[in-house]
Amino acid sequence: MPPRHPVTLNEPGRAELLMGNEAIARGALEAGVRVAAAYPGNPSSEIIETLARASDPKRLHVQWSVNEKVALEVAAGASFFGLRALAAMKQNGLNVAYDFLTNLNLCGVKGGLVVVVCDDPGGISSSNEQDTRFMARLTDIPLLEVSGFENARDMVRYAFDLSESTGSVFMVRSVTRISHGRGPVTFGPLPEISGNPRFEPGEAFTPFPILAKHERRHEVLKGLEETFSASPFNTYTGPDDPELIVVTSGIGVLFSEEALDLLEVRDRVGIARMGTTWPLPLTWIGNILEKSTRFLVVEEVDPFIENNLKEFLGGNTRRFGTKTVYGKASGHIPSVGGLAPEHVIGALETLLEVSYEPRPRAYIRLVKEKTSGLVIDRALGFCPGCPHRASFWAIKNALAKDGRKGIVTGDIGCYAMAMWPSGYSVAKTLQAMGSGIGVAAGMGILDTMGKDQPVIAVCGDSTFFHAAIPALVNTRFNTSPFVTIILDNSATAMTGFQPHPGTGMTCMGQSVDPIEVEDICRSIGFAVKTLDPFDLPATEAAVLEALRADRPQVLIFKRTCALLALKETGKAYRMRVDAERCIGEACGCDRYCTRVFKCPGLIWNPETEKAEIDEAICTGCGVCADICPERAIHREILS
Amino acid sequence: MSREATSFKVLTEEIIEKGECARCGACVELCPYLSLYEGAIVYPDACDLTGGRCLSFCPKGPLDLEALARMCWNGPYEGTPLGPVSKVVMARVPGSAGAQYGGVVTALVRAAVSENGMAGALLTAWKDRAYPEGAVLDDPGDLPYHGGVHYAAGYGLAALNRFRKSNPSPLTIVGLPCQAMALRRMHALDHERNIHRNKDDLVIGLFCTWALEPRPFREEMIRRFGSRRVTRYDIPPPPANRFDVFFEDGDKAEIPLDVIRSLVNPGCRTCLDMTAEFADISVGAAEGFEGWNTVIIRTPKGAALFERLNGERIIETRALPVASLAHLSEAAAMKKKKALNALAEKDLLDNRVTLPSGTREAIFNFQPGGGK
Amino acid sequence: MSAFRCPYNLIIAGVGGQGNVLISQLIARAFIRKGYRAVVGETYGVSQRGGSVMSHVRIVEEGAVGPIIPPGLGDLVLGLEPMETLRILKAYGNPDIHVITNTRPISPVDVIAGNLSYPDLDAIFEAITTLSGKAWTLNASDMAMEMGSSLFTNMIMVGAMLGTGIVPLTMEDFVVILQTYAKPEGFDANRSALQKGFDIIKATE
Repeated sequence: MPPRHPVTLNEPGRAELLMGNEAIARGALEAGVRVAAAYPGNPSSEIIETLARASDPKRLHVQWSVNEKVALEVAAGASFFGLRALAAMKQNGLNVAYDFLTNLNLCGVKGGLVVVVCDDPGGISSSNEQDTRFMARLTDIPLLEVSGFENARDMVRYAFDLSESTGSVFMVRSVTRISHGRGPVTFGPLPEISGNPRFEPGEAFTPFPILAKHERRHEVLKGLEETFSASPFNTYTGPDDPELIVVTSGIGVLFSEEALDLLEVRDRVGIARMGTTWPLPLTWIGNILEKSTRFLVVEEVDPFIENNLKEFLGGNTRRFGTKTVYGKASGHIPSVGGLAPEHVIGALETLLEVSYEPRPRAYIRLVKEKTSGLVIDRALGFCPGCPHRASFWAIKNALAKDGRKGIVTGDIGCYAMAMWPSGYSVAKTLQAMGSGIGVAAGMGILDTMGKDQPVIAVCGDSTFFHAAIPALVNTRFNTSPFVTIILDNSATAMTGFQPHPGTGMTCMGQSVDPIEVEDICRSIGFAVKTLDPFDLPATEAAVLEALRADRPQVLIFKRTCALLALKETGKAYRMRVDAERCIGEACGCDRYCTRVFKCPGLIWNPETEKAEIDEAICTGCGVCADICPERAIHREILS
Repeated sequence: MSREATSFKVLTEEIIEKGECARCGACVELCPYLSLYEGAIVYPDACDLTGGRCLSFCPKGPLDLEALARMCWNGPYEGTPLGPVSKVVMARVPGSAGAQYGGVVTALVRAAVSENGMAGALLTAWKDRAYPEGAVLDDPGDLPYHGGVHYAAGYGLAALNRFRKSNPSPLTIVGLPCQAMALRRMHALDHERNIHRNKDDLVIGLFCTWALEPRPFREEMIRRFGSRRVTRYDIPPPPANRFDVFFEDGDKAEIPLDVIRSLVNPGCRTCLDMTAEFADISVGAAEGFEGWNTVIIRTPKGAALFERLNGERIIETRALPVASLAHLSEAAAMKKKKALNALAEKDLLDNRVTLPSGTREAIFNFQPGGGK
Repeated sequence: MSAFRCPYNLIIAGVGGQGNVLISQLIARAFIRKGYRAVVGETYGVSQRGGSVMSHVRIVEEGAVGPIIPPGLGDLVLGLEPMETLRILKAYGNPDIHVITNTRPISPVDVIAGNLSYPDLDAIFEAITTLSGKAWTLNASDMAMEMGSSLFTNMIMVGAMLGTGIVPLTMEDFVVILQTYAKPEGFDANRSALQKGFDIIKATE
């Protein structure tokens, strides 16, 4: 990439391939956003990363906040001073911010305030699958859904305008397939940034009087029903009296268009594309519903539009008569997981009694025959040289030596993979950011009731700042004897190495004093021990010692993420397997390094029956030299 | 298609986790999968090999007693209470003060390690008085520290596995009956990575009715005495029914023997051997004769060593009274009977431990004073 | 040049870390610069850690198209790894599909660990040939290693794609893209990698 990403250029008419998240960021820039804040989370992270490229202390402040609630608070602060502000988050992040949002809705906003939520249907890079659209309705917040790349840019601009004119926080919902897809966007102009932030005398942003403010929300939504009915984001294409109308939003729009083309049923079926999904654009949707008697709703993930349509139809039976709505409830569209083009094709085949098969039968038979046994799965695992592998190796061994069948409570981050073989399957629970410590605190207190299995909570450094501190304070206050291990790899590695308060750098490129995890833990009252997880014996001994203590313990395993370390400092060692010493599969080893330790930098060569180092993959961390029972793996120091 | 269970799986799930482990130490420190930590075998990772040395060495592993007996005695396994006996006598070291009983084990070890080719002696001791551990000593001067009866199964053979990785020389090995049996299996196993095969070790066996399980015993001691340093333990002869603990500061404490019995290693309940039948020479206390040992000389090698000491007047001997021999045989037969019952109860007879036909009856029919 | 029918569906198949995502963007940009519209769909996130990664590049003359290719409708597979190429053919193959595949396998974790064997390579290549209208194979990884880094593999593969002449892009088109979007310090090497891939296909045609 050149230093200045094209997305930030003020070149109206320029066409660029933009990632969905970049298009959202471009929309914010074209709308004149002045403050943007987020906490990293796939599939939303690139919005802030993109805006950060355009940041400038005088014109646009961009920050990685410590968590999503704080990010939204930061954005609200700017809005209260009259500036346009954006907060971006993934679906789980909205849950964190939701407490604030459920008050902010009543307070209203001044500068346009847009919350972009990127849902992850299918949980491709998430710990859950959640359709956040219901949460917009729950809080009386207007909801827009992006369905394409240029569309995303346009919609964010539209959301800012309406947010400001209605004094309402707006939610824009994207999904993985759009946020992480790429498509062409033709740039609009970037506005002149002007005006100073100002809080006017007499202004106040509070939810009081609550009922009046709540009433006010309903009035705004009522007004938006009409505004949305005239919105360019709700469109219909198709016959005047189609036998079926596909009502769709989000990624469903493009999948539905393609399905109609592939099935060649445009003359029979209409398509109603909805960009504004809450409140329902009643006039517009009423007209659509009058056009046909059968509707197929295509949306990701839950039946949001589907249920709202049914509610609307149910309340207006005299007007609409009998209509049939197909979708999730009827089983035509899957009710879990992300949408794919074939889901829409399949539903239409059933409803229209047409059939579609792009490939000849003979070819399909040939595929079965020719590929049988030739395509095997690729399991996920820690990267070569990952410090987490060493950390969980030490934890696993310490738990075995302790012998009391202790467990590990997991958390969100790369190290969540500790529930799988790559992390020796030690982690047994996994919920929200920071909850490893909270859950462990609930387990620790059970010691007085006869629990005799020790508990270890693991937590990443970024996760620590995000949500773990209250749980740690609670642990100290309510004395829950368990071991907290902070896996400090100096990065938000899972989402792409965003800086956090411990790294000493902001996303605007400013150097700041890093906030030390160790200092925070000490100030809470823990005796903290910091270890290098690559020193396996010391790390294992420290875990064992902590497991035996009868007070809560905090250990910090500090070692830079292997991907970062490779970029910053390169390989520390060239690793070599002494084939003479390697005993391979023999009794006494049984492929200990490749089969058990499982670093991808080590390969089992079935021909020579020896382990080897894959030079292209090995990052030279040197840890495997210490686990080889025959001392057959050697480190050569690289300058 | 059913796969043969891995050695690791049988050893950990069928033997260790079912309370069958003798805690002899033969299976540990051969590989990264089985190691020792604070008086217990730990195994964080699973090995997936079959025919592993660990299970082949295990005295509680699949075992054909007849085959083992033919291999090391050149004779059948008959189930006699004391196993093969060349000679049984009482012996002591004249004027030995430090030794707990007759001092014969210490004397035998000292003499044995001075013989040609011997690299030293493997003994089990209480390292720092926390958990017993095996150690190989090449300097007989170190012996007094390791002397004394330890009562706990200490995984001593782990030290042998460790030692042999760098030193192939034979050793004099002092061990419990389970360890003597494990050693014979280690000497016999035909496996390309068996570092113990055909080693000319001298095995001095110790009489044993049961041994303590290290971790629970340690916990009990800490519960009673905190971190006070112990120099030795003793079980005075009946009817004392107590366990004596001697502290570094000269103090002594007593624990009821029943408390101690509850800490016995459960794997000892299925052990058929009281007098270390697979040793070259076995030594125990001579009950009723304070300061004397009972010695069972079993093999020519054991006999030669004993005769050397006798000839050099390092030890003195006397005949074991007939009543004492009968009493010893009765005790050994009782252990065999109890073990047979326990094995049957756990459904391990013929299944894990195979005895030649008629042996079971011979054991149950043993009459004190009669028989061999 | 064979018929270039829109939407043209190109799939880049590989393993996390092979630079799949980067070349899908560069190819899409090259088409946009030629006046086409292009969209890219890809699996992201955890796929970076050793898993299979595929990028869909879809090219249309006008209008919009979804970022995900429906099953069975692939036009070209640019395979950075042989088993991944076959994985794509299973789902997106058809009798007319074109395939350009790198021949060097990357072992899954279970193969590295010795628990599974990598499937028979000859059988994979046979399946690829049988299941495609036309297939080209080249050891782009070894060529890249000769250049000093396996990172050049994907640029050699793009060069090979240009060499086949099946997409309406020229070397010059792509060089402009490299100049505009790639890091300047890597330009010469990338251009040379592109040329190597182009030449090796030309030599076999």
